[in-house]
Amino acid sequence: VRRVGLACWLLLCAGACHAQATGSVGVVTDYRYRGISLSDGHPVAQLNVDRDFTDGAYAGLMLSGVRLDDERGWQWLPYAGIAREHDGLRWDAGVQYQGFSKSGYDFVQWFAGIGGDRMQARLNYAPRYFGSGTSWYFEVDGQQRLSAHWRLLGHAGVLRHQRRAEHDLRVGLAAEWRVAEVQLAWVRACCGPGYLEDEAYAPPDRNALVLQLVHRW
Amino acid sequence: MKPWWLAALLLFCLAWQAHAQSRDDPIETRSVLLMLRLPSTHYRPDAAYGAGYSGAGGNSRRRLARVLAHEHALALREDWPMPALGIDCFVLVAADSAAATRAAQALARDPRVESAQPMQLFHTLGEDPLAAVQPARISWHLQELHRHATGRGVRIAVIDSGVATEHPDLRGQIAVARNFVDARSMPAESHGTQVAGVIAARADNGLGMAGIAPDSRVLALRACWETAGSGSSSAPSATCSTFTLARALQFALDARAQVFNLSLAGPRDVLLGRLLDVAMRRGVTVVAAASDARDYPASHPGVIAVSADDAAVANTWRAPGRGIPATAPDGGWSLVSGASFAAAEVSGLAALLQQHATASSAARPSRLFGDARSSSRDIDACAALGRAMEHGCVCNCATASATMAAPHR
Repeated sequence: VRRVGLACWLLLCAGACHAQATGSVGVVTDYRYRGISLSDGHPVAQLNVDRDFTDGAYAGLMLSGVRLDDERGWQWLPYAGIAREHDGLRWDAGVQYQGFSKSGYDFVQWFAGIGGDRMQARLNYAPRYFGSGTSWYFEVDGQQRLSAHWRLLGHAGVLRHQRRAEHDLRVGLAAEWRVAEVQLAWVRACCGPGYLEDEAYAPPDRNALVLQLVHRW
Repeated sequence: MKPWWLAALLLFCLAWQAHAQSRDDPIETRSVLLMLRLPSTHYRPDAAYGAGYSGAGGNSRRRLARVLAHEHALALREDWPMPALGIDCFVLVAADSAAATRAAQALARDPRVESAQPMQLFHTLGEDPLAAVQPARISWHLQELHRHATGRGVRIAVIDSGVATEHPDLRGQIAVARNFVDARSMPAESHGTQVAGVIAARADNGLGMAGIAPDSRVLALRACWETAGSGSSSAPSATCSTFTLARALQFALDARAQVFNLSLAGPRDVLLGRLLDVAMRRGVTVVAAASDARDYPASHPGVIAVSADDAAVANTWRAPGRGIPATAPDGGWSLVSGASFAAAEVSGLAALLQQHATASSAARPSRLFGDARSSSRDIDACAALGRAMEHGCVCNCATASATMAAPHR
């Protein structure tokens, strides 16, 4: 697992002079991962750096504050993959590692996605999701540009983890400028018994209104 | 001492003249188009779902463009994303056109750069007005065609000069109007208004004329500006640049226009060619005017090249090109002639074919017209529509007697 993380990090740091570096830093009022709060409903800061290579390969690292088991901590998430486009249809595939300052939750996740300008679908597979059991997660993301500065966002995902199924929804409105974005989203984790019952992941509320401020470069 | 001062004065005068001369060059001919790659759309573990691609790294590319501009003694003027090609396009301005050409060549060799090229100019292909009747009504049996198709629901991008959107024969026909030349609202200009009218003027409204595809919807995309001396009273002519045309093409792609009308011509252009290739791969019918076999984009592979029927231009389809009624920017009508308006007629006809192609078959107008690479041919509109309707009977079943070969489906 750590080798995967190390490989991602090395790729990120590789000195390819033609790679394009991008990144963002921001604050989110509640870090919801697949509808579940990883910050126990508290605001956290996030940093994301990303390198895109000319052949479609990419690698990046995200750092985020988290709050698990009533303890403040942090998450580091290196990732790498490859993306291509053919006649307006784009696909990408890759791997990510999610490491947490609190031990026992680290896991590797593989993903593959396909989509166009307005809609993307992605399938994720994790052999040890948050340290326990295999998970599959299928998600669909959509965006509709309303004007030069406004976008409508939608997301739906279904998680299958240890023979239990959950799904989450997210609808948001984003205002964006060249260097900044403000996003307000309603998030819902739904329904029935599942891993939500596990105290470690239980959100204070299954519905949440999340505000995010991001500065991009 | 005196000769030294005289020589210095002479040198200063020569340098000043050269400087003034370079500044006299239109800014478009001193401009370089710099293309930088957009990062591919891919997974980003941002808490903001859908953050995905949007705007990723725009500032880093702008910084790189500024660095490159500084390295080549250019000034960054403006930029525009072109996701259809996976690039951001930057306009850099040089001191003169020769410097722009040298800079474009140097930038094209830079591995940080996706591509670079000098900005080029294109011109519309109008001629003096002639008095005559609407020729397509006779040679294309337009009224008969309209019994079967009117272009209903088909979106045609008219990439041209400004269109008089409030003209009584165009009111309600314009789905979108955008100005890619400057920040003003859409001005009413001659060539664009005439082309839009030939394609889509309202039918049966008791006014003026009927367009070839009166139920189509026009995307009026101003990529050309009319130059001094042109106007409704004289031959309409307009100039466009690679950048304004590329912006309009990108918009037309995003707006999912099914037919692109390009009643203009200029030199071969790599950036425009790439955008046209993307459009045609997505099923767009691209029609361009040709007054010469080398005119571009008419000579681009896959583009339907159209000349006026009184001109002998190799490798083009011929359409009625003399004395065509057209809407005028002052709210009236005028008669126009030339390849620009022949191309507009063919774009209208393409919309009629597209109406049936989308409803009942996979046929596309470009296929129905076939390949005209051997010699110039007249378009048999009845035959083409008959094929689009899959053996439909138009103009007394003209398909059977058509001179054009049946297309491969």
